[in-house]
Amino acid sequence: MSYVARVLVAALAGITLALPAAAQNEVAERFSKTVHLDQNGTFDLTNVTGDVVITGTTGRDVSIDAVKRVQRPNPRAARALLAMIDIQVTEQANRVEVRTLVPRPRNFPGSVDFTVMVPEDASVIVKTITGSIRASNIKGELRADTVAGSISASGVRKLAALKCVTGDVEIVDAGADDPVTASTVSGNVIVRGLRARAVQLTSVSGNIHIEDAPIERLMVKTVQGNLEYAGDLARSGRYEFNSHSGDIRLVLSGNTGFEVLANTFSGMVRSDFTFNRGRSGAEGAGAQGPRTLRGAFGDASAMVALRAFSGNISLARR
Amino acid sequence: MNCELHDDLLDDYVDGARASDHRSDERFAAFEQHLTGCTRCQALVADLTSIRLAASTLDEHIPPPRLWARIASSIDEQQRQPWWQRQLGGTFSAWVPAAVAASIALLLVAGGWNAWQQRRVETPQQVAAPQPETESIPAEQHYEQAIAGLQQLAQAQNGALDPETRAVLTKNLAVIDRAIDESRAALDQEPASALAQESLLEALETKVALLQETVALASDTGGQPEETAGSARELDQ
Amino acid sequence: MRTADLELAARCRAGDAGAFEELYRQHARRLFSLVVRMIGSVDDAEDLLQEVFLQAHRKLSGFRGDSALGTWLYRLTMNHCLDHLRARQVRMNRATESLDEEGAEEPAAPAPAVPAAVSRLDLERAINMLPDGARAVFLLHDVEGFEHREIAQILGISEGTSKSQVHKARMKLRMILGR
Repeated sequence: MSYVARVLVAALAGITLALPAAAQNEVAERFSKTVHLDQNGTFDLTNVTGDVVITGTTGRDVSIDAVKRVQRPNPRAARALLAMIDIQVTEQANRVEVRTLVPRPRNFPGSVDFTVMVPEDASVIVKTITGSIRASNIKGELRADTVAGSISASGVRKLAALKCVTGDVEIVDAGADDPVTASTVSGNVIVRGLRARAVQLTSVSGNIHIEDAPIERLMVKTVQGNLEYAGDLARSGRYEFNSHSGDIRLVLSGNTGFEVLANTFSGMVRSDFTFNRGRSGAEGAGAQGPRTLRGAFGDASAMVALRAFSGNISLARR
Repeated sequence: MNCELHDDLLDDYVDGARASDHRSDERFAAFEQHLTGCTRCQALVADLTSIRLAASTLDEHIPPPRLWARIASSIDEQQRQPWWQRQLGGTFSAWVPAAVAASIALLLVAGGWNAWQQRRVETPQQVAAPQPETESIPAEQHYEQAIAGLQQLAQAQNGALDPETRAVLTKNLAVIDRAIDESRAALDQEPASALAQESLLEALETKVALLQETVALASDTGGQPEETAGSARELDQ
Repeated sequence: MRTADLELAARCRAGDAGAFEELYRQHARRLFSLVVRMIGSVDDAEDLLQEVFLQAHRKLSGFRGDSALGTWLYRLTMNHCLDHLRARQVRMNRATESLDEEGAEEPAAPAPAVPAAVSRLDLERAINMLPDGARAVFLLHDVEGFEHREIAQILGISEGTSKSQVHKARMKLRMILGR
């Protein structure tokens, strides 16, 4: 099932469960507008409540399709509220701005779901409060920000920043030139295929999973969640994984040499690797203990620092 | 006919210019003279005068009342910087007490992405050496001050965030508080443990970041909680 | 007049929201009418005017009082309108007429062709058919009542061009309305 269909099904399920004794009346209105965006232009959308799906495509058109929805028991009230939802589109040669305006954004009982096609070379900025953001095939920069909702970025060439509070962040097949940040508070961060120079991934209570991500500077941090990194290390890469109570697990393939320092205060450390003497010549070759691991592997070009408080740390070899 | 000689005065005449007002300029008199005998120019003057009169009495298009609201709110939005560009002092609106803002500003510099990029990944040698306690205490105090200030702000904004989001943020703050408590307990047990100190400072930094996030979200989505719910209820009747 | 302008501008710059609203109230109706007739759409006019006031708020720091605040606002508005129209024409692949273009068309009949009482609806429709540059000047001069000197400041053209554009616009309207 497509993502949009899944969202719709989930939404419908939610509505069915939430039906009070009086039947809810939903009124909906469609909004469609097509505008032009110059090469390497910017598409900037701010929504209040509702999902946003943005797809890069060929051509120079920005086609904006939206469905405004309001649910009230009183159909007249519903229609009146629907009329208060204003979708404002501002078009300049190299910038298209879309704003959903409602009289009092917090608590406004209506939503707008957007489906947008933009020229694939566009840079995209999306901001919403409640709702998910899904972006795909964007060759310009992508910045997405939602509070209650997930973010999914796939086929994005210049990922910049993805941020949400209660949802997951999913990055699939992406790249970046400049530093990337992806953060959530209670959700997970999942990365499958990301090529970038510098990346920072953070969550508070969620897990972070990274695979197939050649990144030169990677900082991953969570408080309660587990961290897992699977794949090769970049030569001369710098990696830092911090968790307080979650486990940290590295599953390394390839042959990149690295220097490692792993510490957990009350957890356990284990490793598949055999370590040489530490590059710094510090006390003892491959000094190990139940809570500490220090050593060098191969030519020690990359540097890996793993720190947990009560979580376990493991280094596995694929 | 020599109408063309007078064409540039025709519009002036239509606009109301008369020879009597322009005695020093004989062209006006010459035109009025010409006009008395020229049907073409008379026709033009009549037509253009009708057009001008009609144009000057066209109804105004009245801008909808909501236009000002839209302008006011987009100016408001314009004055807040996007979250990823927030810099020192730019995060909060003007009512943040100066002292709190200062300590928060310190943290914005000390914590976060910039600090990470500047900090080298610890080489094994550096971490092995126990860090003197005196170095970490000032940092802890800074964090504590910032946390106290942010908590004050967050409380003042009570009701500004929707309940679900607020619940998630509260729950996660509790997760961080647990981490802080555990780190402190560990530090009590093993005062020389660099790891326990690191854990504590990490957790404090994370708490500051989350509180900043909470405060920023509440200001972003600003407005009174009760109004729309009320007016929506009114409409329901 | 200028000092009042500078004072209002200073108050706006200082963040006095009331002052900026005052500026809006003073000029919004006339500007809105102007924009609707320039770009031909009420919805687009709302969007455009919002953008204008937003930009005005940003740019107020640069207001030096070299012109009246009203003129400054009108200039901002007309620039937005002309940009909007240019962008529209570029997309539609139509040639843009420059403001300085000369040459009016003259109807054949020497007799009065236009009814003495022109229907407002007909006039609005006719105005919409004018080339952009001529329409801009006509709206400012005949509808809004600006003098050529002021129009020159607003549009950045010469007074002579302003006069000839008004002439051209009137003649064209005569041709449209006279049928």
